[in-house]
Amino acid sequence: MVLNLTHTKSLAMNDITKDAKTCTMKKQPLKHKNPAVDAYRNQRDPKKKYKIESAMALAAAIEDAMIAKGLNRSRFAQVMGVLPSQITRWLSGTQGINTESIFDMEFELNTKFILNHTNKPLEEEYKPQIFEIHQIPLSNEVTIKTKSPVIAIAKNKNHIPDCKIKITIQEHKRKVLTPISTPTHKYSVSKY
Amino acid sequence: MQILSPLLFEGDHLRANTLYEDFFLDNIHTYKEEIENIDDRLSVIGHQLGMRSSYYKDHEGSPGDGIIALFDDKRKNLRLYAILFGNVAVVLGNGGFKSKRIRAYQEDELLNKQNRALRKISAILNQAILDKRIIVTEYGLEFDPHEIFSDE
Repeated sequence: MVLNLTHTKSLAMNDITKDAKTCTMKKQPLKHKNPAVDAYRNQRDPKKKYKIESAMALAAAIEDAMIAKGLNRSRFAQVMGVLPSQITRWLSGTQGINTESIFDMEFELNTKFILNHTNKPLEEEYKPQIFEIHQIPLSNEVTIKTKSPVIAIAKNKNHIPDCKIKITIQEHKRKVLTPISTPTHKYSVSKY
Repeated sequence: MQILSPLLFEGDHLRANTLYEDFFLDNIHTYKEEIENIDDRLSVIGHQLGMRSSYYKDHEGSPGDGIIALFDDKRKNLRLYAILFGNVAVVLGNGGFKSKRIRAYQEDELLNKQNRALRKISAILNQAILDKRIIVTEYGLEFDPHEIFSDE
């Protein structure tokens, strides 16, 4: 049996990992092109993908909150008054969750999944996102796109040459943002 | 999360489709909605969320070979088998229709065949990792793109 491996999709998680990956991985797998598959993908309704993306992101947020609260699936099922198999279905992101169940979860997990109508500052409700810069791309500019209002920048190596860091906050523009660690003098941070 | 799929040889010829593309094209006419759903989910896993244990059922092969069934849900018709390499890479195999009347894939000839094929692939890849022809990095599996992996 002989096989070769090829990509079916592009892989980057976000711009930073893409740059780091391009610089760090010496051997990149080939990207396989299949016109028949691409033709189907191009006809796809973007709304469906958006809904899947949102359902999976919601399921991931619920799972993270559940773990943060120290609950496993069976304990969370007890708390929610449902069968453990229901929790499995919710966390798989394949089943729609009604708003009443989401409100129950919000109450039990003491977190917000849908609306932020409280007076809590946003910073308290979002975990800080930490970006590790492994290598500076040839353009000498790193762009960080984030939804989190609290960000930290960590250097992966001791010596990283000067580069521009542009931070784009995609949401919550109205908030005054505070980075949890002040970037070193080596980085010039544009207004955010 | 790196998402890969093997391209197999058929005799001396390299096949045109990866295993996942075979799965996609074999089922798109009968289960269009479900295939599109699986394809979109894989894209979200690859680009945004990474792999989570809630997305798959593990221990679907021999012990330690990392074979999983993706999106295994009683209400769905299709099963897709894959090999998971920690939280950095997933190698997609093939799959197919799983009847509601069976519980285990061993009861279905096609699924059993797909699963066995993936176990062989897993053995080859794991040997290549031991031989350092494949390096597992934090970004995924790193290997020469023109390398041919074989059990011979």
